[in-house]
Amino acid sequence: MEPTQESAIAKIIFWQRLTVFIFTLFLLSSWGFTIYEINLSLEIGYFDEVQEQHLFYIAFCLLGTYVAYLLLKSLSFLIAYQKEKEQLDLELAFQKQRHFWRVGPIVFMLILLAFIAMIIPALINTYN
Amino acid sequence: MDPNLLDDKNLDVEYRNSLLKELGKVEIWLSILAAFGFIAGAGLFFVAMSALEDKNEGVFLLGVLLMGLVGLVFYWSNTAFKYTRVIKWYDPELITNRLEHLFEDNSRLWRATALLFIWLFGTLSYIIYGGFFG
Repeated sequence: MEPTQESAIAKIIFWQRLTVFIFTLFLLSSWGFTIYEINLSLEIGYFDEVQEQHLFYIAFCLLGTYVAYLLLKSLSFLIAYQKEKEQLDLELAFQKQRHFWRVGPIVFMLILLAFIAMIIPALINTYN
Repeated sequence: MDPNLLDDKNLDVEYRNSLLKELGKVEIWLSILAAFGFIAGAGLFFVAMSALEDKNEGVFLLGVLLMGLVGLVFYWSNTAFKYTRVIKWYDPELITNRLEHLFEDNSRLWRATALLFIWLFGTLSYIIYGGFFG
């Protein structure tokens, strides 16, 4: 069957909605875990110094929240396009999608940096 | 006042051109992600293989989940790579390569993303609640 613009947009909306739902679940779990960890550290009085891992968790969750916002905006612009047929909504939806995909390599780099930051002190300790 | 500003057809062409520019800009980021995906998929494959060799049932199940993840990561990378090619060679003048075909490919990319996220979320939940981490 020959695809139409409407059917293709409807498919994008369906799959993007599913992605938003799963990503929101993941994000809520991440925020819950971060708050639980900070609360636990406060309870056992282990919060005298700034905990690097907590800062990392918070940075990760903030980045995740920004990504979820981009996904939701893209989805809302697509839904608006489906209703109003305004070309500008479509352009803005794809702009938010582009911003969403742009965050991916940044996250990879952050994970790589965190990995290097963990490996280098371990290597220094090994050779000392 | 420029009479062309009131011309709906002219405005439509202008919007269409800016939409095409916007669509084209995503190519670089998706290419990087697709490359990362192929590398991550290969790395995960070796982790999954070592988990599959384990005699413990829980670890074996984790290996199966990871193997599924490997398949989905490769599927996503392949879809993203194909989408970048479609954007690169997109020509609105060709009847076989219209905007709806491009949107169809975009929907395939989102399908792959949704499936990958579902599987990844399930695998992560199994790793955390199954006591494999921490």
